[in-house]
Formats: sequence, C-alpha cells, structure tokens
Amino acid sequence: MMTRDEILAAYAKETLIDIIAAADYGQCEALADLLSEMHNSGEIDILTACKSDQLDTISGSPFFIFQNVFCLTLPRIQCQAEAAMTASTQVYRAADAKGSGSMIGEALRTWFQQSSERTEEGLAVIQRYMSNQTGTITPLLLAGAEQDSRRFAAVALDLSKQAQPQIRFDALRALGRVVPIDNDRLLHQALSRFSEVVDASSSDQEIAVAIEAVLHLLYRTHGRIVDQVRPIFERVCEMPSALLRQTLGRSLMYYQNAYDESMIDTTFLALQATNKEDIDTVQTINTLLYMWDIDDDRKRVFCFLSKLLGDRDDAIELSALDNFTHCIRKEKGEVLGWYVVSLLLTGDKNLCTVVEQILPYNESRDGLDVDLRAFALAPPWIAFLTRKILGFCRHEKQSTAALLLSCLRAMPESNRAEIEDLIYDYFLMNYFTAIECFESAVSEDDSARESVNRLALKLKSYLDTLSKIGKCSAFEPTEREQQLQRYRLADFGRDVQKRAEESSALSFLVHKATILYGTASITYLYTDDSAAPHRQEIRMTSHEHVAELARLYVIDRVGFCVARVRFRLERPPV
Amino acid sequence: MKLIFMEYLASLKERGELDVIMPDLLSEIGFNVISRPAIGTRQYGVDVAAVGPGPDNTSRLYLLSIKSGNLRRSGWDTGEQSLRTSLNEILDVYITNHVPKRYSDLPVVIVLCLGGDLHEDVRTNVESFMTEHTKGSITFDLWNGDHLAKLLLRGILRENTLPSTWQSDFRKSLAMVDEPDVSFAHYRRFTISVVDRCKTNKRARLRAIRQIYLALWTLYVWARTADNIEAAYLCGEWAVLISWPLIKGHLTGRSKEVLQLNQSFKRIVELHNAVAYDYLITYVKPGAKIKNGLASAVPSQSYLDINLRMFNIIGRIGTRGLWQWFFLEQANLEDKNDDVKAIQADLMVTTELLADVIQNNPVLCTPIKDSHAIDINIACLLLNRLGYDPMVQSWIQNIASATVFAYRSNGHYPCVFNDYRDLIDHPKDDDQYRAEATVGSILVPTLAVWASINGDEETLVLLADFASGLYIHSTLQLWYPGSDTEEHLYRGSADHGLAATDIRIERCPEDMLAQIRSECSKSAAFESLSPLACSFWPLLILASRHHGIPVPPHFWPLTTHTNNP
Repeated sequence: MMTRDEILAAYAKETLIDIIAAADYGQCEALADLLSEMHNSGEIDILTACKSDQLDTISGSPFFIFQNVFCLTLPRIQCQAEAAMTASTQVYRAADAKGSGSMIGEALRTWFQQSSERTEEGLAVIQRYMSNQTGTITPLLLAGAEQDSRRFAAVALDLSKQAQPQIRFDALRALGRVVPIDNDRLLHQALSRFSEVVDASSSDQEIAVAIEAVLHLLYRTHGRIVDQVRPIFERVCEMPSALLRQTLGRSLMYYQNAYDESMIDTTFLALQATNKEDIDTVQTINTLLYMWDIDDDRKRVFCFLSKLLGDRDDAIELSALDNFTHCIRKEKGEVLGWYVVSLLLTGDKNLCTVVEQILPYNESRDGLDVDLRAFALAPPWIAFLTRKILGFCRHEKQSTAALLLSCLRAMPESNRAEIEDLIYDYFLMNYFTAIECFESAVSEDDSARESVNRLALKLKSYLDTLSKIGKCSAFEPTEREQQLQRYRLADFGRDVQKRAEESSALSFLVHKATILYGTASITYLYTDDSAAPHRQEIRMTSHEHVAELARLYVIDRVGFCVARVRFRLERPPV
Repeated sequence: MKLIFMEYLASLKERGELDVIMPDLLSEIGFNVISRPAIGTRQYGVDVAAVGPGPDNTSRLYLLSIKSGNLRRSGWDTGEQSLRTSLNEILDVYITNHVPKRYSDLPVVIVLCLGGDLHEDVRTNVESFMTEHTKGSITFDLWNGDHLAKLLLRGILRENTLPSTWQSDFRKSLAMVDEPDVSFAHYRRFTISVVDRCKTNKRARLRAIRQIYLALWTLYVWARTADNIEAAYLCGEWAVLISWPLIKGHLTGRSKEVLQLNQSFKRIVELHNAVAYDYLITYVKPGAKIKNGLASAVPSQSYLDINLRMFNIIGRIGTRGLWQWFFLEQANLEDKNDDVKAIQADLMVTTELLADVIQNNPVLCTPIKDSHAIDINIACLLLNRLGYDPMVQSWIQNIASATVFAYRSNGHYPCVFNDYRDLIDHPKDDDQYRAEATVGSILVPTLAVWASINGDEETLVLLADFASGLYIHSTLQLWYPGSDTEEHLYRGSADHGLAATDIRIERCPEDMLAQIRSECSKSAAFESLSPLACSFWPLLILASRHHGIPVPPHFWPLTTHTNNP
C-alpha cells in the first residue's frame, strides 16, 4: 500500500498518475480514500495532476487501475465544477479511446448529484466553454434531472439544438433519459425533436443517438408511447446504415420489453441486411441471439437466420455468431433438431452448412429428437431431407441416426424402401455400429421399428459375409508401403500434438515440463513468501479419444465425396 | 536344398502337379520318356513310362505309378485309386498288352513313385507285394521324396550350370513368400542369372526353362502353404516373360528338342495360369459379389492401398481372361471340342467375376494413378470381347465423371506418379503441384477411346471439354511399340516405344477412333513383335500389366458400336 509520503513525493515530481497506475487492483479502494483525503486537505490536487499528455502514455491494465482509482476518488472530493469537469474530460478522452468512457461519466454524475450548486455551476461552465465539453454534459443533465427533471429536460432540449455536434449528441442521449414521462408536453416536445433529427440530420451517428434515446424513452414509459415512437422507429429501420443497424440491434436487446411485435419484426427485418463486413453489427446480432428465446420464438429466429446466413455473396458466416452457436448447441434436443431440419429443408447450401457447425450435439443431454409431423412433409420431401442429412451430418453418428430415424418415422411404410436404401448405403455402410443407435432408440410400438429391423438384418447378413471373407493377406501392401504409411501417420500425430499445444490456453497459463521416465512427477509449490514449499506428486493420466472412421472414406473416398456433393447440391422438390 | 525339394515334392498333388514334374525330371537325368500322364485315356496304372539305364547301365523300361504325399494304408489298398490296384493293373494289363513292341524285350522296373515317404504301418505290406511279384524280368523299385529330390538336384538343377548365388537367391525367394515383393525380387534375380548364363543351344535353353519352371513350382507350393500366393503370381508372370526370349526363335520345327522347348514353355504358361486361377478363386471370388467386399478385404486403413490393390486385381482378372480367350482360339483351331467347352465356361466365369468386382467396388471408378489406364484397358478388352458393352460404357462414364470431379475438387485425382512415396502425399493443395501431378495422361485418351468404341458421345464431350479446359496443360498421349520394344518388353529392362503426344479428344466418336486407326496403321513395329509373329499375343498383355507399359492401341476394336454389324 502506498504511503502518504510516497504520494507527496510523486505529486511533487509530477508522477502521481504513474504511481497510481502501478498500484495493485486490490488497493484501489484504500488508495482512493487516501487520495481524496489528501486532496480535500489541500496536500495535493488530484485533478490538476490528470494531464492528457501523461494519461496518453499509460495503457492496458495500469490505465484501468488509474481510471478505477479516479472514479472512486472523484465523488469524494471537494472542488470547483470546472475543475471536476476538466479533469473528467481529460480522463474521459483517454478512456474513450480504450472503450471505457462510461465509468467516468458515472463518477462525474455522482459528483454532481451531491448538490444543486454543483449542477448549477456545471451548467454555467457548459454555457461558458461549450466547445470543450466531452463526456460531461450527459452526467450533468442526468444528475440535474434528479433534482429538477422539467428544468433539465428543457435544458437538454435546448442543448440538443446546439451547433456543436458533440453537445447535440450528448444532449439527445440525455434527453431520452431525463424527460419526465408524466409530462405530456415535454414528452411531445422530445419526440418531436427526435423526429426532427431523424428526418433532417445527415449524420448517421446523430440519428443513431436519437433513435437509441427515443427507444430508451419508450422503455421508460413501459411501451405507453409506442404509437408515437413507431413511425420514427420505422423510418430509421429503412435507412441503409450499418451504424443504425447496430443501434437497432442493441436497442432491441435492451428495450425489448417495451416493443410491440411489429417493432420486433421490423428490427429483425432491418438486421437481415447485415453483411459480413459489418463486424460490429454482427457482434451485436451474436449477443442479441444469445439472449433471445430461440425456443419459443423459433420461427422468427429461423427466418432471420435464413436471410442472414443464406446463399448470397456477402452472407455472414456462422463462425461469427459464436455465442449464438454455443447457445443453440446447448438447447434441448427437440429445439436443436427443429432448427437442423428447418435449415436442411431450405436446401440452401450456406444454411445446410450451418448444420455441420451446430452439430455435434452434446451427447450427454437428452439427444436429438425431431418430430417431423410438425413439418407436414410429403414423401419426396422426406427423401430430400434424408439425402440432405446424409450430405451434411455425416460426422455425427448419434445425431445423424436420430435425424434419420425421424425420417423413417415420418415416411409412410409404402415409401420406406427408398430411404432405407439411402440409410443403408450411405450411413450404415460408413458406420457399422450406427445400427445400435437406431435399435436403442426405437420402442416396440415405434413406427420405424420394422424398418430398423430390416436394416439390422441386412447389415448383419452383410457383416457375416464380410467376416467370412476376412482380410486377405495377399492383398496386403508391401512392407515398404506399410512403413511409409506408419511414418506418415507418426508425422501427422506429431503435427496434431504440436498444433494442439500451440492453440491450447494452458500453454499461456502454465509452465510445461516433459517427463522422460516414470508415471508421476514431483513438484514444489510455493504458497507464499514465508512458508516452505509444499511438495506435491502429480500422477500422470492418459486421455484418449476414439472416433469411428467413416468406412467409405477409406474404401471409396472419391465416390463417397461425389455422392455427398450430389446430396448437398440437390435442390428441393418442386 | 534337398530338404526344400523334399518339402516341395511332398506338397504336390498327384494329378497335374507331381505327374507333370516327373517326365521333365526323368528327361533331365537321361531317360527317354515314352508315355506321359494324360487325362481321359486309361493308362492301366502307369502314369509315366520311360526307358533309362539301370544300375548296371543296361536299358530298362521304367513304369512309374505316382502317388502324392506319404503312402498310408488307405492309399495303398483302399479303393480304385489305391497304389496296389494300380500296380495290379500294371502287372495284369499294361505289361501284358500295352508295352510298345520295341521295348518289350527290356527288363521292366515298376516304380512306386511317392512325393513323400512310405509310412511304417504299410511298409511290410508293400515290401511283401514287391517280393511276391518280382519275377523274371520284372523288378520293383521305390522312389520316395528323398530320392526324387536327389534326382532333381542331379538333373534339372545341375548345380554346375547354375550361378553360384542360385541357392541363396532361391532360398530367399522361398523364405520370403510372406513378403511377396522381396520374394519376387530374389526369384527375379535367380531367373535372370539362369537366363543370362544359358548357352544358346536348345538343350541349354530347355534346361533353363525347366529350372525356371521348377523354381516357380517350388515357390508356388511354399506360397500355398503360407496361404499367400501373391509372390507366386508375380513370379509366374515374370517366369513367362523371361522364358519367352529363350524359345521365341524355336517355335517352328518338329525336332524333339523344339517340341520339348515348346512343351516346357507352355507348361510355364499353364502354371502361371494355374496360379492366376488359384489367386482369383481363393482371394477374389469370395468377396466379388458383395458391395465393397473385395475392397474391405484389403488389410489396410489407407484409401491409397485399397485403390492400388483394386486396380491391380482387375488387371489380373482381365489378363487371365484374355489368356483364356487365347486358349479358346487355340482349342478352336485344333478342333478340341471338349477343351473348347471347358475353356468357354471358364472364360465366362472369369468375365462374370470381373464384372462383379467392378460393379460392387465403386472405388474402381476413381483411379488414383494415371497408369491405372493400363488395368482399365485390359479389363475393358476382356469385357468388350465377351459382349459386356453396356457395362463398359457405364464404367467408363463413371470413371470419366469421377476423374473430372476429383480434379476440380482437388480430391484424389489420377496423377502421373507411380512411386508409393509420392502417391502417399497426393494430392497437395498447391496449383503448381496439381499441374505437375497431371503433366501427362494416358488415362484421358484411353477413356475417350472406350467412350468412342461404345458410341458414348456424352462422355466423349465431357472428356473433350475437360481436356481443352482444366486439363489443357496435360500432355495427352498414347504409347506405341517401337523398334526397341522387342528388346526390352519382356524384362522391362529399359524405356522403349514411342509416345504419340498429338492426341486430340474429339467430340465425335468416329473422329476420335480415326486418329488412333491412322497412327496404328503407321506403327509397323507392333506387327513385328515376336508374340504377334508367333501368334502368342497374350504375352503382350501380360508384359503390359506386369511392367506397367500401356497396352498397344492395336488391341482396341477401333470401330464404334454404331458401325459394328
């Protein structure tokens, strides 16, 4: 912990910021206490110490420690509003570049909240030095609104018409938060102002601020003003701006409860135009979908996904929606199954490829379970779906078996032969043990029971014949060829291990030790400076993962690929 | 070495194996063979009759009754095929009525010829029989495996005529039958030494051929015991090819030595075909009718190994089928009606087997080596002759589509590499590599020719577009025999022949075939190849398959189906 003398010395040498930034994170609270006490006693002036050129030299973790100490200190100190605002602006500018400006605004707001004199003084400063205010107007207006909402709403309205863009943006942002929702006149004025901005502004950023503010206002009224907001909202939704789409997506996330169904639909419709270059919006969509109820609202989500990921040149890739992928993969089997089937039925190459990425399904859960009755498919569509499953889900034995079983169940007995042949030729011939997945999944009265029995019988007969033939020693590759294969496999194994180690998070966190002999290692752990090291024996364990190799991939690789490509490219039945 | 031959002799079957060896063996030790084993004619207990010197150097008539393996009680005295029955027939019928007049004054030695040994439980009975029937000029002798092995070493394998390393090479070829490529390498070295040291006279050549034959037989027997006749198959092909130069100049004439040379060479051909038959029946047939059955029988988890083996198999079936076609032609020429029927039936079985293998193993639509064109071609030649045209058409179509697909998708497309080390790394994700791997092709023209023969314009257009598009960098070519081919073809000793590189894949079948016909008509070297001049054309197919040389385009039926009557 820093001592008073150290602080004084640093202050004298103008290195106070540096020593604050070098503190431990755990000491921030105590340090803020000491700094505010020393500031209030006149020993130091923490605010004048915050010089922008010095702040710019600090980055990464030390900057965030400094920022944290500053935000804890500011509300506790006595000072002029101008000094507080100037220092906050300096820190805000440095922090904004690092994406963490909001904490400063919150600290300044807390400082203003403590007396109406401070807000009055703050207003005067703004009037005086309008062009220099960055990040101070919103905290001031928010703090002021808690003291006198009508007055500060009027101030916000007034400031929202100023010529300086930053003042205008901050005022618009604050306006949606400070307008008293029980004052119809002010509400109307605010909505008019927002509407004006949307119609008249040529700046996407200004429109984005305005629409975010108006939706915040809607949220505050619990949707009461939805009819007044909707026209403004719809106009924004029609604008082809990436920034606006991102704002609309983020607003849906935050204020969804105040939206009506039509506004939700309109938002998704606007977001559909997002392309892969629009990284920020993609990230917003990723978070939005992660938070969305993809089970209850599956049709809307699917429709949105199919437009977003579907077959077009600038379609975004599922890998960009990692949070959503994680979310859908841990859904109930029935939900995941519904999405998989819906995606495959589109026949769209991009959407079907999504299936490959959202499977494998976590086998420890209740397993994929799809009831195709919900889709009311005619036999040609079931056969089409079967081929799509075989084309896109080949790696996931368990999941593929579940999906194929649903096709068998949905297909009338008289049309089963076609899909039984498909399952036999392209799935069971690949994974002999997959028949166990079918057998264990069908009950006595299952409508697919007969088909599964037939498949099992056919496979058994085939396996019996194969086992009679056995492996033919005369067909064996030569010793040299076998040796080359072994070398190649060993090289492959080494390469896999190297890549796994390189990409493992553990490699950054822990020291790697390689033991050459023995089955356990001895290490000494140092718990703290004073104690003797603790001896620990770590027994080695081996982890292995066994995967069944797709048989046709070995026996007839090109033929297998040709069949897969055929299935993948097949168009839906007319 | 004696032990090796004893083991070999003991393993031989009576019919078609031990009785085939004996005449050569006797001939090599100075006997004059007057009667050989024959199927369908009664021989009254005598399998081989020969005149040879006795211990006192006086001529005797040796009547051999041959039994395979060890002689036990059941083989001695049970049933019509027992040795005692045969000996009684010799005594009662043969000696009385069937000894040629000019040998009737000679003392007779009835030889109990056993591949193995006389078992103790029957020794007394045999000796009593021999004592009881030894009368006047009739005596008995017992030749067991030990004695026959001695005769082999003294006769056919006269060690002074063999290279000093022969024992080592020969032994290694036997010991390594489990590793067919190693076994073959030693057998190859052994036979090359035999042929290279062989003098140019007929007698020496006859002995060399017999040595090659005997060594092949011995190796086959050992391979059979090891349940892996792959080495015997490779050695059989090689034996035929390396023997050909020894006899190709002696195919005409009626002298005894010429006939013996011819007969010995034919026996090598027959033995090779017997091994090939054994190979097909034992290894190929069981899995042929099952989807991917044969591919599953390849003991490897590598797509490459399966692909290579499967194309190798169809080349072998095709080659055997074409040999049968040749035998059928010969039998027809010689009016051997019974043989014609039997060979026809056998030919049908072989061709059906080939069709089954192709239909049930889709891997055969995706060659990984450009040189698989040779195996595809041989198979198509057989199928075409037997009227399997729709099948050939569909197969060629599938190969063409898969080849185009694999190339487009940078999958396992056919490449020019033949070394396993190169093939194992194929394909690579590199455009320069892709161009190098397809720098030339006999496959694409071969497919185009077969598509043309079948009048399959769709496939031809696919190939034409491919050749003039993505494959434009590849030198499409066909191989024609040249003046140096005769010298190198049989041993595969060097590159030979000519590559016609100006091949265009025409969109019209007739145009495609016309350019091949035109080149064939200008390629005189083909007609002068000795197997053709001697009407032994399957030898060219065999050499193509064995050495990986394209089959000369002259074998193609260069007319489209629409033109066929």
